[in-house]
Amino acid sequence: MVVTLWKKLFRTIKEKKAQYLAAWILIVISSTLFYAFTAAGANLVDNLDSFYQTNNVEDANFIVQKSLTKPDQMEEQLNLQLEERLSVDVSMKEDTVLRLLNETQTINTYSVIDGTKLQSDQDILVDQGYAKVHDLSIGDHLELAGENFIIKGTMAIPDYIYPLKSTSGFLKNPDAFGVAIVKEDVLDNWANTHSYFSVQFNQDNKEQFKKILNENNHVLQWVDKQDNNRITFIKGDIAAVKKMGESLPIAILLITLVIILILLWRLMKKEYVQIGTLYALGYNKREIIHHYLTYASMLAISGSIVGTLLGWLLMHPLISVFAAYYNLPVLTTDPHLGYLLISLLLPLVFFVPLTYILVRRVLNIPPVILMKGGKVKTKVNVFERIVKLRNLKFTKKFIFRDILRNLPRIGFLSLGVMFATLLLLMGFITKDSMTYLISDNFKEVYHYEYEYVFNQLQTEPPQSGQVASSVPAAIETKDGDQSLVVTGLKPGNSAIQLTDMDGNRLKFDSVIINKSLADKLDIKQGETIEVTSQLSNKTFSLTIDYIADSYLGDMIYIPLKQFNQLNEYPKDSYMSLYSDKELSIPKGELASKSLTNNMVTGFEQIIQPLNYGIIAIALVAAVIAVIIMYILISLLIEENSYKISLMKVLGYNERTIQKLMIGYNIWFVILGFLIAIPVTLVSISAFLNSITAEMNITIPVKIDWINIAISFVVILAAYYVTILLNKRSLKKVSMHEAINRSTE
Amino acid sequence: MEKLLEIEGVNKTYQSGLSKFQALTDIKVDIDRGEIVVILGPSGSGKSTLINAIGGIDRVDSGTIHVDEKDIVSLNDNQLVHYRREKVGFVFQMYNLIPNLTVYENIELAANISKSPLSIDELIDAVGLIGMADRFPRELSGGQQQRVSIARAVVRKPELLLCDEPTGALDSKISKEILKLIQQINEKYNTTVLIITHNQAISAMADRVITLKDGKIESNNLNERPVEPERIEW
Repeated sequence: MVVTLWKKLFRTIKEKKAQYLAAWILIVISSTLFYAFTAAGANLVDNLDSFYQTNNVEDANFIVQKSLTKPDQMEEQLNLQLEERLSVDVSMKEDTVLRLLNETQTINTYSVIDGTKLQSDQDILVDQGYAKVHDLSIGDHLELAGENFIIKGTMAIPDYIYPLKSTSGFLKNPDAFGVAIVKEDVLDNWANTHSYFSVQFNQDNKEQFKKILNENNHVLQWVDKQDNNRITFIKGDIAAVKKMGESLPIAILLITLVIILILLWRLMKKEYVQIGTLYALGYNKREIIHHYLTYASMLAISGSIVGTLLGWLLMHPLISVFAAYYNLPVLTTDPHLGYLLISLLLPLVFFVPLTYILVRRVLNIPPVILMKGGKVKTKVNVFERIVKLRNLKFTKKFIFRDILRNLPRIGFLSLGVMFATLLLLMGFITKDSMTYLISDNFKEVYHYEYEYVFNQLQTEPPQSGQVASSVPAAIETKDGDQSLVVTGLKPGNSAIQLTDMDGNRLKFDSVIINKSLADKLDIKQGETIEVTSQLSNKTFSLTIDYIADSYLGDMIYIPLKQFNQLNEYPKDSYMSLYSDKELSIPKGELASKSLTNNMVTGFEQIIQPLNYGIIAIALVAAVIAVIIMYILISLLIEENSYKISLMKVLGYNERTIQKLMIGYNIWFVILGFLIAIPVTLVSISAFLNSITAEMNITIPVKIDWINIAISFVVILAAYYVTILLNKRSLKKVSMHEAINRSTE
Repeated sequence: MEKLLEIEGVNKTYQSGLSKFQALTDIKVDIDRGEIVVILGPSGSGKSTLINAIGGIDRVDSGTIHVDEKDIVSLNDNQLVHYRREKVGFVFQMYNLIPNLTVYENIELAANISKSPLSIDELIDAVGLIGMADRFPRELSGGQQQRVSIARAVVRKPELLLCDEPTGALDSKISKEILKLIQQINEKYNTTVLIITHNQAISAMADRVITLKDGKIESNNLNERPVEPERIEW
């Protein structure tokens, strides 16, 4: 492009700096979010995969009734690795559990995040989250169950990357639970340790291995890696980070693309005569296309470079936050060239083809017409022809006509507001849905304080508490196996209370599937499914009697009697106890003991930072809303400057002009807001379903009306800020414009 | 004298909705190199259509327009761009300057795409805009803007200077100054000048006066005694 045209380009941008800057900011936001989130997500996945590989994450863990006699022989025979893991829960202070695990040699080995490796029996390495919450530092002395330890540092282990007390837990709570690694000798000599095995398969022989295990023994518990929330939850969360990083910026880019197309179309329309003159001076189509294309490409390139740089800067703290949250050691930070290039080129790829089409369309107009300022529009649009306005008052007639003539612009205004609202509601919906899932749904379903899981089947009736049994199971689907838990309960059980979708209380004398699992399997009441126990490999048919309004876990509840029959367990046997109060059960008999209260506390701790996140999202949404509305309304003033000028000459005051020309936009802002509510609910539901597909929960989409009201106030405030910003432009329209135009 | 422009049997029709408008009918005219030609006619007579066709920014339905023996009617779009670059300079009634480029840059805009342009600084002085190179069009009067427009048209040393109502937006005093400038350019560079106007007074300075009416040539006369622009009776 010739140098002089560059000067023209820069000066045009300078003259309309607010509009171009606004579009540029949107590109920067989009590139920043895209690169920061996708590259952070990819780095987390890389680090996680590399950590899992280097530290040999288990494929499954299991508990057997009798200890394995010849594990080495099994390893050789089946080409797999087995390693016994010892654990014991100790209390550092009241209501706090620190789980001591032995240092393993082959499977689930630890990595030191900060400090040094274990050297002696007094050394202990604590998980990062727990150490932080409990203010533990390297060199601190810890007394645990009468034993003295010295903290040597913080560590990460693959099977507790998300430190949940139970493999089926949902929310970590470092205040109440943490893990620590000690030398194997320490736990060998510890009383009441709990033992289980981790297994890593080198070939696909899991079923054969289970069969051999069950020949002379009983598998009491089997947890596959994919059903272990301590291992899988991080993947779901990273997937959410990446998805967010991919979808949100693309939506912002699309909005920006439309804005830039509008800006450019408006600019070219204004410069018809100049374009015609350039033709007359001997410029060819290619040179003129290049000139106008440069507006979009320059914005895209500079915006994406700045955005990507900011994204790179943001990526590091983002990775640190996630790594700290998940107790993940960050081994490497890679720029991820693929995402870097996409981040740099995406705006360009989005903008250039469509702006090219737009510019090309304008340049198809013959130069002679361009020099006359374009063809005079003589056609009346179809809506204007259909809608008869004759009987309306002048103000209404004027407004309606303006609306009918500007339907695309108004449509885009509503779309822009819809997008900003979607962003705003997204934060609120996430919070409200989580609150419903944990606080409301959890409290409605689970009516017990303590859950005790025995390490052997119990046949004697308990002194206290309500009995239950659970087995991990799987259902074959076209997309692979869907894991679930089948729980047997006595018909009169009140520790777990379920209602159907209409709110009617369900009794446990029937087969009940929870909503989370029913949705994933797309199963209806009355249908039959084939369920395979993960412990015994036995397959049995279950006909669904009811679907329960419960979203935590993928669960099927059946009568305990039927459960024992199907699993060939002794009549009236059970594995768990639910109780309102603490029971005195010898530790040696228990596989685990958990407190439901910890989960709610954990949630409340997690929801607090989410509140700050929502405020941040609300601010970004409000900025986007202001930018979109500002550009559209300033263009409206610019496009109608002649009309506005003429009205001023005729004696209309600014307030009336604003009412006639701009005021009606509020209705389309409200329309955009209203449309956004169902659109957000549907899209968030799809988004949450996609990120929880690999997790054993479903997050029901909920929104509190008060948060809708707050969002509405934010959008309205953004609208009025826009009006305020545009007031000056309206004032600046000179009366000379109308007079000069008429003399041309 | 050597012929620069030979127009033969040119017709042009505009279609607007269902109605047709015959803008030019069987135009035939020859113009010599170095002539100042004034094309006179009321609004709608076809004079702008004719000048646009000669300038290669509009196409005709039939006929030939030979410029330097080359028929520009048969040229494709790219060849027409080349033709405009090499042969033609335009001066418009409303000056058509790029508002956010300075005087110097507006002239530079045309100079940039020329193989051997004139010196812009010298040209600025020649058109009487000394010291105004860095001003923007909005800082200039109408007459000054038209001087910039003329300098922009001339900077590439065109053989044909096409002026579309060059004084249409100016008062008589300034108009005479502008016409004088056009005449000086004609003399200095031997540029053929075509001025279209509805102002009959201007025809006094022309070597040839062509009158158009309803798209047809009504008259085509040589002016034996062209007068100096400053002596034109307005």
